Amino acid sequence: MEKDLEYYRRQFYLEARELLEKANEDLLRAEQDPGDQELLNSIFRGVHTIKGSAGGFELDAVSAFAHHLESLLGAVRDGTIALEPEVVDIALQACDVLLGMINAFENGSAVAGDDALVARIRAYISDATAQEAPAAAPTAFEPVVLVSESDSMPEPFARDLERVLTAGIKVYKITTRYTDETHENGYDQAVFMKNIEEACALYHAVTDEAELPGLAEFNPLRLFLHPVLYTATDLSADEIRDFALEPEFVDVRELHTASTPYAAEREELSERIDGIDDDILNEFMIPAREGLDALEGALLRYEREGCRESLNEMFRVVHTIKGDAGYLNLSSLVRFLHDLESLLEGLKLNTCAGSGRTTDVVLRAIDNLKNILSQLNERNGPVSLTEPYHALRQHLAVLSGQQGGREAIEPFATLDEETRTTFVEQMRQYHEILVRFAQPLVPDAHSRKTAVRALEGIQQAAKFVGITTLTVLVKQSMDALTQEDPESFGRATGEIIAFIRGLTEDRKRIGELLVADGKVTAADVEEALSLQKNLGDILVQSGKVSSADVAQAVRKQELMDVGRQLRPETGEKQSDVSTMRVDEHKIEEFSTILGELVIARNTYDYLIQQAVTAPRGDTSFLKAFKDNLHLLSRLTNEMQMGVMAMRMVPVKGIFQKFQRVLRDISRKQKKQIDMITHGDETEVDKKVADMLSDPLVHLVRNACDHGIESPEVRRKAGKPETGTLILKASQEGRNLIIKVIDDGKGLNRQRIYDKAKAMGVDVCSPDDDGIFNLIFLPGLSTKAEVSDISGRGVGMDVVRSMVQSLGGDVRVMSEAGLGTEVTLTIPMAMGITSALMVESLGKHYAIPLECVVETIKVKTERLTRILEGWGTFYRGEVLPVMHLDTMLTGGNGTATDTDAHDGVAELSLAVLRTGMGKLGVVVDRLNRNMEIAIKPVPPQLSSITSISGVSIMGDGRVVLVLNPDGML
Amino acid sequence: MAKKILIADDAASMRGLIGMTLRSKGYEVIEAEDGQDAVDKLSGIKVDLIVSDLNMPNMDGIELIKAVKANPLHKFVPIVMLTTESQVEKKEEGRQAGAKAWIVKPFKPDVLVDVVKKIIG
Repeated sequence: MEKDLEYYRRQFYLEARELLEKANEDLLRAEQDPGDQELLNSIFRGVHTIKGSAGGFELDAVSAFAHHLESLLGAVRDGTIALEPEVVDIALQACDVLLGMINAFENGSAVAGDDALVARIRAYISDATAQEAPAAAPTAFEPVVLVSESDSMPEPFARDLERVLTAGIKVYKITTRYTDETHENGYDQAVFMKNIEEACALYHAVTDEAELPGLAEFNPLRLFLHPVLYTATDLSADEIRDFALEPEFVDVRELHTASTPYAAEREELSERIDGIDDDILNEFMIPAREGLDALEGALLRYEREGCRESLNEMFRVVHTIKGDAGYLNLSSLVRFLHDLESLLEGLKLNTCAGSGRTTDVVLRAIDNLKNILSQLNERNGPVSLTEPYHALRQHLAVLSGQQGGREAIEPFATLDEETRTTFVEQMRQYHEILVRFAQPLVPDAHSRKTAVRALEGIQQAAKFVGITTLTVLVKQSMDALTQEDPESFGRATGEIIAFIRGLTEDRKRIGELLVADGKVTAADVEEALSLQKNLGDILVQSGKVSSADVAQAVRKQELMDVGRQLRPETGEKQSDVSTMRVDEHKIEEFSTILGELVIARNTYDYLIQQAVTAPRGDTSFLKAFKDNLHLLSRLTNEMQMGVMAMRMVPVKGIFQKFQRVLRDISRKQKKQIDMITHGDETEVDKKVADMLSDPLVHLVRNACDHGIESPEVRRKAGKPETGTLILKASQEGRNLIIKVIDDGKGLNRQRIYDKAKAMGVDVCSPDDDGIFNLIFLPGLSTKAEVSDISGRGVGMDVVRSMVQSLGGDVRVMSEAGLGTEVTLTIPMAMGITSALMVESLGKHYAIPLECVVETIKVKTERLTRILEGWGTFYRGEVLPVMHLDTMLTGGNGTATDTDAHDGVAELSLAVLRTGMGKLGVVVDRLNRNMEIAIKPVPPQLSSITSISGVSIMGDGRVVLVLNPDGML
Repeated sequence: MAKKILIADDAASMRGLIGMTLRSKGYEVIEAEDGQDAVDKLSGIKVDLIVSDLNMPNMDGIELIKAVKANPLHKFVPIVMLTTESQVEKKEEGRQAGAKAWIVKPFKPDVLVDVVKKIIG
């Protein structure tokens, strides 16, 4: 159960994150287009859903915080607050806080909401609407409103009432007279209703929902609903009034003077099937089930058409089952069926009025029967028929106008328990009020009045249950209030709150750490109170600790936290499981492919058998082998493509995040920046995408913070005031290229040079293009002052190591005054690639097919000397030509040695695509294309740039995978 | 005997939570992803109660109520709305369509159980 809850909770985290991401995006869009009501609705709904779900998962803090955000968004949606940048700021920040809370919860730590932010939200709402803030935490009220007609009783209930009236139970109409005033004083109508409900056989509340105000006007101190209750009970009117604590709060009227209650004992009825063997049981069960289905059909037909034949059929079915059951000695079942038969007989003889009602009863009886049968079939001991039997009897009694049985009324729990629950419930509500209005005491008249009311309520309730500690404390704080002594008031209410918490909550860790002794001074309490928000329930246990104890406990807790972090992870590490959503259809496709794979595998079994038994020299089975191999390779291809496709996500997801980053920076630094994205749809492995996110954030921040200048500077430099940031993604070969381009002031060569020199790095000259790559050195930031966004010189270092860990590379180009371009080159995905197999000097190599333009044969005489190397005309352009062996064995790789061409009339050329244009590579032999699994080069060899990986062939040979870019 | 409850909610986590809560109280639970799915799943079986969200793709909660009430096999099945929606008009609409109770999210699992118990025992 707990495990399940955890599972769904994790699912919720995932959903919440998606919703927040969407809300973030929508907020930014809404800021651009404030008139889009649908967008505002959508944002509101998202947060609304989070609030709703979080409450369900007992993430009350999340729910409470989402509630505030929701109020703000609600006001925006309703137009009471304009969506100005400030509001968007707050909302975005709140989304972040929510995200942080959700992440924290997922990692097992709890993070409180941002109280300052809540205050800002509240201030906004109350400023804008001049209304009071919405009521306390959303969990304080969970309106469960029974929907019902206010003018007349709903039909099923009226029917039930009739039933119990014939059974001799008294029926009351209770009109509640609770008012706002009584409500404030601690007389809780809801508790009264709950108690009545528990004490009565039938309970129905009729409320006028029109009285319910909108969410924003909810107020815990007001009573919105004044329900009328209809109950059936054998309590006396006076006993009902007693529930209300004060008799004048309710008006109790008996609807019928009842005869003496029918006190028939409820007969226990159960059935068991010992001693019946399976075959016989089945012979009974199967026709019985079929019969019941037929019965259902016939019943509905009868209701619809009223035809006599259907009725007869029903009668036959029940009769047959009854007969069979009797044969098996299932006597209780027989009795049940007998009653059902009587009911149907009544229908047959037209003694039962209202066929609709009877249909309902019979349908229910059929359901019950089905259930009983299936339980009997499980042979888990006796099956109780009591409930369905008596339900049926009751209906039978009511329908045929006879006296039936009635439901036994549970004796209600002892008053002490009830009182306690009521009291604790009341206290919980007052606690909310006190925390909000009295801590610290807000000087305005409204809050003050509210606090006083709450205190009075506590006083009353405490007197009622006889808790003198509370009455004394309340008196103290009231006195302090009249004497305008905020210090003692704060202390007294603090103690009240602590006391209530002790009543309502479990002890928390910090509470356990505190030893409850010693007296406190006012200052200590102040301190404890100020700590209270963050540390939860310091005062739970006693509220009476010295500041030193508090400090020590806090220290201890901190130490424990640290200890927890330092402890090596053991067991399951839950938080590290990263999840990914996969389209269900894709999985289904896999299942199909897997089925085919199994068949293909089994075919091999068969083929091998054939090969073994085939007469010598007979190779006819070879063709079958080959065919099967084709099938197998098609399947594995499909599998591979499927898995790859599943892992690929568009970079759009990463890029979108930057809208937000950009907005934050532009607002903070008063810069105007436009973002342009290219190639959003480029897909990249999800893992790569996840890892890329952080380095890109660094780059974008750097570009905005260091690169793009403020509008004034830009104007002076003759540039448009609005800076431009371009994010570009593209696929080149098997690499993903991401460029972050800004049109800012560019990097300062001289400054980098000086700084690098100062750090003791060996640099030749500031004019060297390689100078820019120095910015990736740890600790090198050219920004004189560090801003809170970037400039500490850690970013670029992290960017490079991150990109390198992905097997990629990062390069910087910059032009002073014009801007900077950072290029990330990352392999799209490690895995399986198609490659061209070539041979050179007897060695086999693989060239990834993405790099191969085509393979051609060139006559030796068509090679021309170009400068120091060789080249040929190729499709209207000059193609440099090199020998693979010379390229790999050192030298400049140029095909300088004319002898190499001697005696060879024709050369095999692989035309490759490289970062510097096309290149023809001469190899000894071009082999076929193959699917190869590329493994990374061992770290010792990673400095060899001409090799991007190794692959192992089917015969165990190791083949080097060439990297054309690295060979130059 | 286990009573059958069908729950319709488009959020898988909510469905799981509600389902788990009700199963732990001995109810048999059938889950549906939206109104249409609920209607599909209802064909051929009878349930004792339906717990439905309001905002769902394909077929929303109100439409689901109407569809259920139009089916003679299910028209007596009580329906509880469990939704974040708390607008009076929406509730009225739900009431008129035939919803038995309206629980506003965030809900506490025991509140749901209380309401369900109250309706089908």
